[in-house]
Amino acid sequence: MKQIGNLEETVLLLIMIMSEEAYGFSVSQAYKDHTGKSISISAIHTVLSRLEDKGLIQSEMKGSTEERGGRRKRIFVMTSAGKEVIAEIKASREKLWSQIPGLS
Amino acid sequence: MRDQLLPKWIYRFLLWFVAEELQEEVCGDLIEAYRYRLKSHPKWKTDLWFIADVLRFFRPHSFEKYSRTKQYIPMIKNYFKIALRNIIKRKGFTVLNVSGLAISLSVVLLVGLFLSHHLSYDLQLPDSERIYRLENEYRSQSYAPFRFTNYYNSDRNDQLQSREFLKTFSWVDEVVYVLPSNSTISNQPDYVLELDDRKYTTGPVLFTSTPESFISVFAPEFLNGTTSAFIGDFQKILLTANLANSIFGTSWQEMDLIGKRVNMEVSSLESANYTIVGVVANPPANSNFNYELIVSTPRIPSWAAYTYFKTSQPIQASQLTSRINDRYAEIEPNFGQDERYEGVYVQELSDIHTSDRTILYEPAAKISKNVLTLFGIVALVILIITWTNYMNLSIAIYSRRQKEIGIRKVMGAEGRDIVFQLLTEIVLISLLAFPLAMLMVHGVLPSFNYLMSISIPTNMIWSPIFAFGILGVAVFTGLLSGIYPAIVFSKRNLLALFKSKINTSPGRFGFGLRRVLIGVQFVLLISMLSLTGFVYQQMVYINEKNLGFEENGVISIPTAGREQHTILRSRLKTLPQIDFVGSGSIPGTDPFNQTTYKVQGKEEVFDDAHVIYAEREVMRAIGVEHPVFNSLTEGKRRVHLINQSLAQKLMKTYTLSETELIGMTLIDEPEYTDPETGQVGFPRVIEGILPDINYFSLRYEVNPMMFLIDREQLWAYNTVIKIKEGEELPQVIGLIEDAYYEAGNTQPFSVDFLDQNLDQLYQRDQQVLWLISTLSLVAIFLGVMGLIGLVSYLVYTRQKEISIRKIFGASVGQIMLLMNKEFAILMFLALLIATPIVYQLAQNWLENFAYRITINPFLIVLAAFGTLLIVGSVVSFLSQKAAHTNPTDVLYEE
Repeated sequence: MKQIGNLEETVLLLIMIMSEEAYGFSVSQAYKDHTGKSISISAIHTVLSRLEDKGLIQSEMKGSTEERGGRRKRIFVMTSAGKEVIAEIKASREKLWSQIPGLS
Repeated sequence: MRDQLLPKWIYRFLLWFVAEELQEEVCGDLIEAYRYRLKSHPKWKTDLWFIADVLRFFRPHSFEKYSRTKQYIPMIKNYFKIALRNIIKRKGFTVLNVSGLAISLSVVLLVGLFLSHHLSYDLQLPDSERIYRLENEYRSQSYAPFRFTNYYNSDRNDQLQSREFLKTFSWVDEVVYVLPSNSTISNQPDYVLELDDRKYTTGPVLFTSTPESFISVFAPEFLNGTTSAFIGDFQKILLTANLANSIFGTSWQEMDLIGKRVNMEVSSLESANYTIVGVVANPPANSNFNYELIVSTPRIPSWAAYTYFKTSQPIQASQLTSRINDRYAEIEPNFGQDERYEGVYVQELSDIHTSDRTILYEPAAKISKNVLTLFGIVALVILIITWTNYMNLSIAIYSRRQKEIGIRKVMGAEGRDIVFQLLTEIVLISLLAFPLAMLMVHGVLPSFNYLMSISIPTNMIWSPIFAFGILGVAVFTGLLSGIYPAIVFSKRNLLALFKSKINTSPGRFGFGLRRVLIGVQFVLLISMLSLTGFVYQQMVYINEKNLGFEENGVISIPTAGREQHTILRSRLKTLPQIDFVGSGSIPGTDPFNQTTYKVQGKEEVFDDAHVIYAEREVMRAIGVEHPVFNSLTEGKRRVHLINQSLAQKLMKTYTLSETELIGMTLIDEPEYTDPETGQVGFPRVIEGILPDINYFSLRYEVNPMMFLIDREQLWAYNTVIKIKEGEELPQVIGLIEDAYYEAGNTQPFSVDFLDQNLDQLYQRDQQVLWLISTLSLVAIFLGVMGLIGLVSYLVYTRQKEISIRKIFGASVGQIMLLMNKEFAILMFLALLIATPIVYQLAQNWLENFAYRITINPFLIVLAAFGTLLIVGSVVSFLSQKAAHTNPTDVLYEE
C-alpha cells in the first residue's frame, strides 16, 4: 500500500467528492469549507502533484473559463490505484475502531 | 483584459520563475482566486493576498525541472570560454578594471582590519562584557585611576578600602587593582632587574596588589609555571615570553626559571626581593596594557590604581554608576563631606578605547569614534565609486556585444540564459581581483602597521570573516554592476540587437541612469578632493601654529632627587654646549589635574586652572621671559604669574583693568584650611601676566594657568636642559649621560626630547590625517579612472554624430564645446549637492580641534573646477581626435 499523509488523504477524498470539478483553486476552496482552515494554493498544488507522482490521481487540461482569463484548468480525477488506497485506509480504520472496547 | 487589475510587477515575477508547463494552471488558479476574493474584499487586501500567494509559489517545486538544468552545463562551459576569451582579448581593459577593483577591495579590507583592531580592545578577555573600570570624578575632571585614601602614603589597608566597598555589592565578583608603570601616574617605563649578579633593563611593569582577582579577570596565558604559584603571597614575578627571550635567550623553556630570586628597586616603601613564578604570553596588540612583566606587591606603588571589577552578569554601566554613587560616601568619610569628590564613573571595558570622554591619565592612547566612523565612510565612498565605475563599464562592454546576444537569442537562448551568461562573465572579472587584493594587503600590512603604530597580525587577513567578507564584496560588486545591463539586453528585442547602430542608451532609463551615475561620481570626487584640502590645511595650520615656546634642543631627564639634580646641574653648567639647566615641568604633555581657586574677598570658586611649577632656568630654556623674573635674580625665592586666559577671565568676571589685576591675591585650593595656622588655601599675589602658552595639545584651548616660578625648587623630579643650537646632539647626550651617573643616579638614563614629545602629542592626529588623505587620493584616482573610461566610451559611441555634424559644417571647436557642455552642467549640479555635505563633514571633524582653520567654500568650488578640468581635458582630447577623423571612415557602411 502507498503511504499517504493526512493532508493527502483529505485532498484525495475531496477530489472523489468533487468528481470532474477538482482543480487547484476549487480544491483549496473545498478544503477550506470542509476543515474551516485556509490553505494556500501553492500548498494544494504541491499535494496534487505529489499524489499524481504516486499515481493515485491523473489530470488533464481542459475547460477554460472567463474568470481564469481564458486559461485552462488542470482537472484531477481518481485513478483506480487511488480508489484502492482510500478503500484500504477506510478498512484499516474500521478494523481499529471495531477493536476499541466498550464502543459499539 | 481585466487582468490589468492585478499588481503587474508581481505577476511578471511569477511568469519569470514558474516553469513553463505549470504556467497555465498556476496563473489560472491564482487569477481565479484573485477575482473570487475581489468580490468580498477590498482591492488592496486582495492585492496583498495575491502577492503572498505568488511568493508562496516561489520554491523549487515550481521552477524549471532538473532535467532542463542539465542542459545548462555545456552552456556554462561555453559562457566561461567566451568570458575568458573576452578577458584575454581586451587585456588592457581587463588589467585596468581588475586592478581598480583590487585597489578598492584592499582599501576596504585594510579599513576593516583597522576598525576591528580598534573596536576589539581587551575584548579577548574572558567574559569581557562583565568587566568594568571604576573611575574617579574629582572637581570637574574624570580620572581613569581610582585614588587611594591618603594618596601616596597609603598602606595596604588604606588602599583596599574601595575594593572592600565594591565587594559589599552582591553583584560584584572580583575587584582588581593594576598599575602599568608606563602610565602617567607611575611614569617609570623601565626598571632594572638584578638576577644572578647581572643587571637587565626591562620594559614596562604591570603591578597588581590583588593577584588572585588579577588571574581570574585578566587571565594571562601561562607558558610556564602555574596560576597557584602567583596567588596567595606577594613579591612574585611573571615574565612575558618577550622578556624571558631577551634575558635567557630563546631556549628559556628548557631552563629552570621558576623560583629564581630577583632584585628590583621599585620605591623606598617596597621590598626589592622578588621570585619568578612563571612565564606568560605577551599581551596582545589590542590591549590597553603593554607590559613585559607582571609583579605582585602588597601595595600599589602610586597614589591610585586602575580599578577593574567583574560582575556576575552584564549590567549597564550607567546603572552601575548610579548604584555605586548612591552609597558613594561609604567608600571613605572624605567622600561624603568634601564637595570636590563628585562620585564615580563606571565604564564598560569595550568602551574604554573608543570613548570620547576626556579622562585624565589613560594608560593607553585612545581613538575617537568620530575618526573610526570617518574611516568607515571613506571606505564606503571608495566602494560606491568602484560600483559606479563598474556599472558604467559593464553597460559599455555589453553595448558592443549586442550582435552576440542577438545571435544567442536566435539560437534559442532565453532572457534568463542571457542574464546568466553576462553575470557569469562580470562576476568572473571581479573574482580575479580577489586574490590580488588579498596579496596586496598581505604585502602592505607591515608598513601600514608601522605607519599607524598598531600591530595587526598578518594572519588576520586570512581569517574567515575577512577573507569571505572580501570575497562577498567582490561577488556583490560583479552582480550589482552586471544586473542592470544584463536585464536590459536580455529584454531587448531581436531586431534592435541587430541594428548596426550602437545604441547609447541601453534601455528606457539607460541614459538617465548613466547621468545619475556620472553625477554621483562628480559629487564624490568634489567631496573627497575638498575634504582632503581642508584636512591638509588643518595639518599645516597645526604644524605652523606658534605654540608660545621654543621646543628645539630642550630635553628632560628624570632624576632621583634634589641632591642628584644639584650635582648634575653644577657639572652640566661647566659644559659650553649647554645653555640652561633647571628643574620643573615642561609643555608637551597630556593635560593633568586642575586646581580650584578664588579671588581674595570674592565668593566664586573656579576649578579650571592648571598650576605649573618650574625654575626660572626652565622658562629660559623654553624661551619664555618676563620682567618679573628678574626679581628672582635680586634675591626673591619665588614669583607668581598668571597667563593671559586667566587674566582675561578675571578681568571679565569682575570688570577689572590689567593694572588693577596685578597686585590682587588669588587663593589656591580655598577649601583647604591649614589645621595649625587656620590659613585658608594658599594665597598668592599676582605679580605679572604671561602670554598664553599652548602647554597641552592644540586639541584643547589654552585654559587658565598659574605659574609658580622658583629661583631654585625645594624638590626635583627631573632635570631640564637646553642644548645650544648647532651642537652635535648624540655627542652632547653622551656627555649628559656620563654626568647623570656621576651625579649618583641609579635608574637607567632616559631622555625626553621636547620636540619629540610634541610630535607624539599629535602623532595620532598625524596618522589619522595621513590615512584619510591617502584614502582620498585612492578614491580620487579610482573616480578619475572610471570617468576617463566612461568618457572615452561615450565619445566613441557618438563618433557618427560627430562626423555628421562635421559634414554639415561644424568646426572642431563647436564639437568640443558640445561634448563638454553636458559634463559642465552635471558638474554644476554636483557642486550644488556636494557643498553642504562637505561643509557639514568638515565642520564636524574640525570641531575636534580647539584651534582650527575657517572653512573656505572657495576650496569646494576649486575642487569642482579641478575635476571638471580633468574630465574636460579628456573629453576635449578624445572629441578633437574624433572630430579630426575623416567622416567617410566613420560613416562608410557596407
